Amino acid sequence: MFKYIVKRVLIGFITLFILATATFFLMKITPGSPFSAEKYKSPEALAAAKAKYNLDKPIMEQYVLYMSDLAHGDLGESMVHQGNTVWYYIKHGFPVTARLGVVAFILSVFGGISLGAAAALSKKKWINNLCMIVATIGVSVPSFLIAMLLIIVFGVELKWLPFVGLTKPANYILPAISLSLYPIAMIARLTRSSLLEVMKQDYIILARSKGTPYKKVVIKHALKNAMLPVITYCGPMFAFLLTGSFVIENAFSIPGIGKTFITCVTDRDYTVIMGVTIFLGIIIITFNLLSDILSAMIDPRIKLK
Amino acid sequence: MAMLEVNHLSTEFKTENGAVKAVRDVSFKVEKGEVLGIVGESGSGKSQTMFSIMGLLSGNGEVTEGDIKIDGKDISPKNYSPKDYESLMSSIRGNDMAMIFQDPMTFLNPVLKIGTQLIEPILNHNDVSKQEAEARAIELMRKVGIPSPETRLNQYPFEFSGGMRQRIIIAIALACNPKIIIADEPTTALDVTIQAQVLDLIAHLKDEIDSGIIMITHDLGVVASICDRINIMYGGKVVESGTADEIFYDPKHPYTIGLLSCISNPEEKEKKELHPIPGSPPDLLNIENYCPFADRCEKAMKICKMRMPEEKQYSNTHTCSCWLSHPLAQGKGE
Repeated sequence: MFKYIVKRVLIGFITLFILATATFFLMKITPGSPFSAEKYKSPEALAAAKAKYNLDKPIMEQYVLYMSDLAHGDLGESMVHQGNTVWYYIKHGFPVTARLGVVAFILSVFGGISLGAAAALSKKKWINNLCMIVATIGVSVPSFLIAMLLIIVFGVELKWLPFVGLTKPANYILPAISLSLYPIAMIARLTRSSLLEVMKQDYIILARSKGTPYKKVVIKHALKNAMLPVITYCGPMFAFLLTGSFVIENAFSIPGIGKTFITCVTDRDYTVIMGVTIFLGIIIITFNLLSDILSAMIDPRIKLK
Repeated sequence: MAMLEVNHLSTEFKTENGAVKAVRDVSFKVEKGEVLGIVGESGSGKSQTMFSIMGLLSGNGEVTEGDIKIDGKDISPKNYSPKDYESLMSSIRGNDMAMIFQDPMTFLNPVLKIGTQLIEPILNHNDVSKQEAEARAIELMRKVGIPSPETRLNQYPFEFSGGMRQRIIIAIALACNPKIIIADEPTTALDVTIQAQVLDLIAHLKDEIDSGIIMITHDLGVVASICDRINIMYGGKVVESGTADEIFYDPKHPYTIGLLSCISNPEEKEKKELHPIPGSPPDLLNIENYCPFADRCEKAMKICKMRMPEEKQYSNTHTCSCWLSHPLAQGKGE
């Protein structure tokens, strides 16, 4: 187990290296510059700014300089808003996004599993149909549409819930719902198909032949087996929720990292783009590893090598 | 009083193409300490008869007729509401009646420890602590011949061999000293050497406990070694029933005779050719009401494809349903 984790962490570093390299060169290929013409009117000022950020040097040298800074843990500072370090953006944007992400994740897991289990186990056909309709809508309707719909209905018309910022607990409700509808739908479908499959297995018959009541058979014998594909999906999904959605953060005016990311891309703020990309990469790699470890903890047959 | 009494049991499976009559008017009794063998080929309804009794039929299966009594207590599904039946059976299954299954590789839950699975029936039916249940589990594992049960208790099924898993399944069945143990082809999925070990174990346990045992198999050789009485099933019906001696030395039904001629005997000096029965078992979907074996029977007469034969009593224990036993058919069977 320990060896496996060390190996995965090493592979993670290689992945990050490739990610950083690819992002660096793609960014340089893209036309545009962080130094807008309005801000840097004289050619001298522009040259000075370029020199400050090493942009006057050949691209390979820039790359080597950036990577050596990165290896020292230095993400540099913003090229557009000078004086702000890249870490400052992450430090301020990420906690906001993460809080919303955790709420949406909890909602997704509980909502998705209960919906999927209800669809799989209910003997009434309409419950199954209802769950599957909700799941289909969740997968197919884009989140910005749901966000707009929720804002108009519950925010503007009914005035039940706030929809600007993330200041009070009530503020979390609408963005969390818009963010989690898609994962709820995915988890519900996964849970349903996997639970239907598990309930057909021979060991369910053996469990029932022991006189174990049906509900306990489902909870103790079936759910644990049925959760394996769900957990594999949940790892990357949690990372996706933590890294934020630009659409949702924009719709609800949430100052999260998703919004920061899009702004820095449009501004060609090279150092911030690099820093945020690498940070999000670390999160995604970590949660993929965590979901693999969790699968192995649930299913003893999975050997982590 | 019989430990298990089944009268006129019929089970159907509803499918898109109509009802599959898997079990048709089956009756039998199992006494205390007795081993009843149920023999028949795949699809003859032997397993479904047992699943009907246990109330473990799959979703589209239903017991349409018949009475089932365990130790005098009525457990026929028709006499209870579905909810009452389910809670009644939860208290019966694993307690009064337990089942040993066919494939030890698929019947144990892969993600639960052996100990957890073994103490489950004990905790379900007895008011004991987990420690007491574990002590009982260790005792059971010793009984079925599992070495160092204390460590094995904390292992997972994938760490056990096929034969060891089957011993665990047997231990689970024995956990609450059931009145009836149903063994559904307990050796089919095992290697021949392990088969012999498991059969030895069952034969040995038979002497130790006084439960009634039902042994389902399609292997007459298995039955011969441990069964007191044998029911031969074909097309969802019991076609012949008798003591082991009666079935082996004085078979009456052409199907039984056919089955017996399929057994090879290494001790016989003369080389004997084996005679497989030509054809395949009947389709139980919308089956006609005449002798199910008639289409494959070498001695079939006109009447065989018109009506169901009546049961003839040859002795107190020996019955057979075949038109050849009818007085008007004298001599035709020779």
